[in-house]
Amino acid sequence: MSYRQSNQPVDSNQASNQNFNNFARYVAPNAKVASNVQASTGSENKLDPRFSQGHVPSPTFSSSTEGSTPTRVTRDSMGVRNYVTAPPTNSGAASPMWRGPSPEAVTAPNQPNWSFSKGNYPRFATQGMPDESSTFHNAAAQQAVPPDLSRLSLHSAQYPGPTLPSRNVVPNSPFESLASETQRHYPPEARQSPVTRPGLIPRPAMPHTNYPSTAQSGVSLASDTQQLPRPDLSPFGVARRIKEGDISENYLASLQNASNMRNQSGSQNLAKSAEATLNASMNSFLPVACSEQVFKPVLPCFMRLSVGMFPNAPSFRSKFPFPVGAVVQPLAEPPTSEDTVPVVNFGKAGIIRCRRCRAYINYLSMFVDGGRKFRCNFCGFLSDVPSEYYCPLDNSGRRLDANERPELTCGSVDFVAPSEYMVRPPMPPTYLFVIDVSSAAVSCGALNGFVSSIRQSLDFLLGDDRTRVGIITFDSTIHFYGLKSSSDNPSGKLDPIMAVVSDVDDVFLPIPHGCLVKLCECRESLEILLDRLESMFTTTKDSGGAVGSAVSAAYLLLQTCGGRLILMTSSKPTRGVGALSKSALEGGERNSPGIVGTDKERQYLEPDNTFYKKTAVNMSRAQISCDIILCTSTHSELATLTPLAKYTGGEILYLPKFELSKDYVVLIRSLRRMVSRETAWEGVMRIRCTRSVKCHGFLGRFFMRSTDLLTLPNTDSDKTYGVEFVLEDNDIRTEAFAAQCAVLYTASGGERRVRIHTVAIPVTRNMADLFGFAEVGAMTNLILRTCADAVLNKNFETVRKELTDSLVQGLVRYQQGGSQMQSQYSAATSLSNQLALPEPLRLLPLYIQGILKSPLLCREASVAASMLLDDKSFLHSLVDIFSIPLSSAFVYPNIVPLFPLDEETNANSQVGLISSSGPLSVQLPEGLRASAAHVLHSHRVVLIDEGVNLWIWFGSSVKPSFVQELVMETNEEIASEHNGAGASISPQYLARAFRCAPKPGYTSSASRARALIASILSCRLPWTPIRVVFQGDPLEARILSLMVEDRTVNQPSYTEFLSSIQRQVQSRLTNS
Amino acid sequence: MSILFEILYWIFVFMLTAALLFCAIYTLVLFSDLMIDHINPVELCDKVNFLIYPEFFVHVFLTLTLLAKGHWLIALLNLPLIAYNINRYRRKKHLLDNTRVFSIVGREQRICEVKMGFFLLTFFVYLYCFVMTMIRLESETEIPEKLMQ
Repeated sequence: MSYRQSNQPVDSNQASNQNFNNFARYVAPNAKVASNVQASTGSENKLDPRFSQGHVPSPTFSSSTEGSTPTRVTRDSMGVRNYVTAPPTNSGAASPMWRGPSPEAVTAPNQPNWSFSKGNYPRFATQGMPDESSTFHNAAAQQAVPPDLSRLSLHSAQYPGPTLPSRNVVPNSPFESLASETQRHYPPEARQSPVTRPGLIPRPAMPHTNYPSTAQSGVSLASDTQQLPRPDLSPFGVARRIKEGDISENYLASLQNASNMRNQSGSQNLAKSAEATLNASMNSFLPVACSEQVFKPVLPCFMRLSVGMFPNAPSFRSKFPFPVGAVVQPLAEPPTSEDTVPVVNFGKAGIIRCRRCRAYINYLSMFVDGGRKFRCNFCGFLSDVPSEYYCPLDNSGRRLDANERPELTCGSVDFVAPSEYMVRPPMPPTYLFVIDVSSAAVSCGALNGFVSSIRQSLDFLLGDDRTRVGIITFDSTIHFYGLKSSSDNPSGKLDPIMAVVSDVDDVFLPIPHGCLVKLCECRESLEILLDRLESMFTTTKDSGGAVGSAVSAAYLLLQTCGGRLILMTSSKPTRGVGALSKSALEGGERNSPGIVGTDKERQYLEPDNTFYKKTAVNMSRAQISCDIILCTSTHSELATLTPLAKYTGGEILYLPKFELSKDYVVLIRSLRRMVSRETAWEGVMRIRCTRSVKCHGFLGRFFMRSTDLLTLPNTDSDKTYGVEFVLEDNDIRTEAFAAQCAVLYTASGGERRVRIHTVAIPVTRNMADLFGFAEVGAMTNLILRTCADAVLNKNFETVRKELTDSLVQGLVRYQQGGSQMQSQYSAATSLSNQLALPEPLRLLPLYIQGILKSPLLCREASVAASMLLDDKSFLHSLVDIFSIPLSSAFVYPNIVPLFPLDEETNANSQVGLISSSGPLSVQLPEGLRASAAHVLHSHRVVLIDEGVNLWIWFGSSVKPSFVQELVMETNEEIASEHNGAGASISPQYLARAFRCAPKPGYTSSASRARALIASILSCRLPWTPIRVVFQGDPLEARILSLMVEDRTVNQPSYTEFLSSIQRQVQSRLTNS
Repeated sequence: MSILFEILYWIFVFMLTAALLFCAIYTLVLFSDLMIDHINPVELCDKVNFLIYPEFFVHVFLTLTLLAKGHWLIALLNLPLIAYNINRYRRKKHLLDNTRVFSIVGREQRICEVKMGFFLLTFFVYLYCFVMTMIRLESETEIPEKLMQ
């Protein structure tokens, strides 16, 4: 999605209109965006659900269209607006911290569009806030005004009563040394008032002795929980959170701004705040190679950094206790079809790269010397431009063809790689199915499920006629099948040959050819085999278990060509190579439900033997990736098998308590998705950064072949990687930090390609910027990944303590360094019941509490009881591929009521989600906060989206009409089964009923619920289970554990957590 | 005889210590090679893990001979390293994991440097002991007057 409209003359009206367009694209991405102000103002009341909710931005946000709100805004002679009717006291009489819905704001029909982008959330109002927000839209005006003047005039308007103490006077307080230290650390612009550095952070404390205490800053912990920071619960907010996760506006602004400093008037949309800051601090910035109108930065779904401004020095970075890194999803599905990554073929010139650091050409490369050379934006080296690629420059130093070249206009590009980028011809997509046919698999119906899911996904395999497939089955022996090509055997004898290898300790290939064949040639033979597989083994008594040997057999078969091994098993490895040790086989403690959530758990989450890890490393070398589909009814030591997928970039699908009727649909859909989504074969990934920054601590599913090279035998659109940036000894000297993620891969069509994502953000020396432009979604994701990794090596308590400590330390830094004012006054004046949070990170305490309460770090007996070791292991493996929407939902679930829906509130919430298969507009109700008192009402049916699970909670007194509708509208097969089963309805049955495709023209609440679920599922991993829980069910403990804001046995409620954090912050501040 | 034995014994000790020192230095070189991408983690781990058991046993053997010879104070000096190695083995952390090498390489490198310093220290301690023994033996041994002239 581009954040910029092309070919539009930009003036202030247009800017606001653009701004609206951005919003409108979220609302209804396919809708034609109206391009005049009337249209936008006319439709906004209908569109913005927040109006009905009362989350109206404070009046001081208003004013982007000139003169639209004359009663509120006047202009002084300097061109600075004064807010004559907004004294600070009126904003928070009832609710000190939040701007409540002000009557004028609600009734004003032409509430300007600014509120849409900046006012998404009620903010922490501080005393610094009003003037800060006003400068948001006064940035342009202020540029003409000396900052001091504007500040003074604003202040006099803002605080008409008492006069401010002069900022230059440092009071004689015991905190003088602290203040002077701050002055040393922060450059002059940081020490200026919040007014001249707009849009950053609510300044926590002004000398509040002068002001009514109602205008205090921060979170008032004593007041009711209504006021605490939460994600946007409006329909729009929930829809966006489900689809994109949490994202900070400031971060988007920063992305834009890192590169468009040339065009001052063009960046009036989101970027205003950042731009004003940057103007104050630096004049020259890395300009983009193209003109700004066509520039398309990387979409947040591909690559998102956890900060919007990068720290410039290692010593400075070490003061910021949160991760500075990126979450990368290189092959993510773009949200709309117009955002598909463009493909560039350089032809004879070859891919243009810096000669020294080998970075790829991108929109930040500067052409010099008349276009004959270009300067690398990572290392500053001048490389020659090949003569085929040469193009003269215009008088502003841009290439004449820059706007037509995708590599110079887009953040995300695919390059076609010539033969220098291949060590062998691009491999064809190869799928080898390794199927368990032991009695365990047959008895639970898994074999049936495997075979039919393969049969149904044959049409979806990637690679057209180049696709190769093979099948190996195993029980206590390994069975190979030689498939016959239809063209070679015209007589029709297509029966496959079967060869059995019973020496499971030393596997060899009995059939040299025919095990791996072209799908298009041997399709018939393969289908004959699939048809026979089930009947061949229906009466088997073989206990099976040669999992390790089957994997080695598959490795032998694939090692020359590479490919994808899909291991479908339901038995433990008990025989042959890679068999479990005796203690693991007997189970013992592993089977007991009480083991999860104790410190003993750690040793059982380690693989039982190293065979699978070694095999995985070998596979990774041979470009084989291994997917594991584990359908089981007992404990199966998933932890031992996990390395196979973890180090080869494979997928893990774990279906516990497998029953064919329950899991059939999931299995088929998952396999189909696994084989058909966009896949990169034999890939390597590298992230290059600006000089003196290194990538460190990659997290995800890969094998690291050198310090910064990830081997990805297979990666696809669902795989996400986390990386942290580490500053080396030197400071960054450039003004922008850039990171370039490059994946060299073979596309399914057989073309070798390089996918590039280049992100650039400004560099800062200022702690306030780090907080003010942080990106909470990516940060939460990185914290979650780090915690999941750490908990495998450390005690629970240590990890939990470290996590809380980092939060406390961060807030201490913020209070100390955020502003000089704060450090001077906060300790002197007792902020006894308030916690100052940076605006973009205001949700971080909530999310950290969510991580602490999640099954990953939680030690609650109730949660542990509902999880087995395999579940835990599966959860750990899922965290490795968590994208930001998933991690956001995981730390704070998205909760929406399914029934009963209030018709009136729904009528005007036309907020749609777009499913990946096509637009599926659903009406989303208001979200609910994660607190049992607000969610679990007995007349309700509630949907709780945990990211990895979709929970549906049925209250005990739900109207039977809803269930009836649900049952009536299912397709016949399920309905008939229900009639056969009797009158009582099982949760599993309901879960299947919910999963049915919604019928077109839905009107009933059941089908609306179904449509809602379908659209959420389309944003989730394909096997996300739907789990129905009735009120009073034992599983309800899990639901209660998802209520992040509530108190549990061992853990505090949200309010208590915040106040304990606040106490710790206070004590550290006073001690320091 | 006794002097000859002492000399031979200490030379033997020096050689073993030098071998241990070599192991530590070699591992360090391998680590730095890894950081500049000269070898890949699989090779590194193969080479490093190959050395771990010999190093441990040589060290234990050395300590035992010292103990047998009655230098129990010096043997005691070696005890912390043995205890550390055994502890690592017990927690199954003694072998380098080629999938996690890059996240632990900094720590391992530091451990290796400490080990190297330790071996260097013991080397000089042994040297000192050797000299002291020689002096003692010299004073004890009665050298015929004739030879002194």
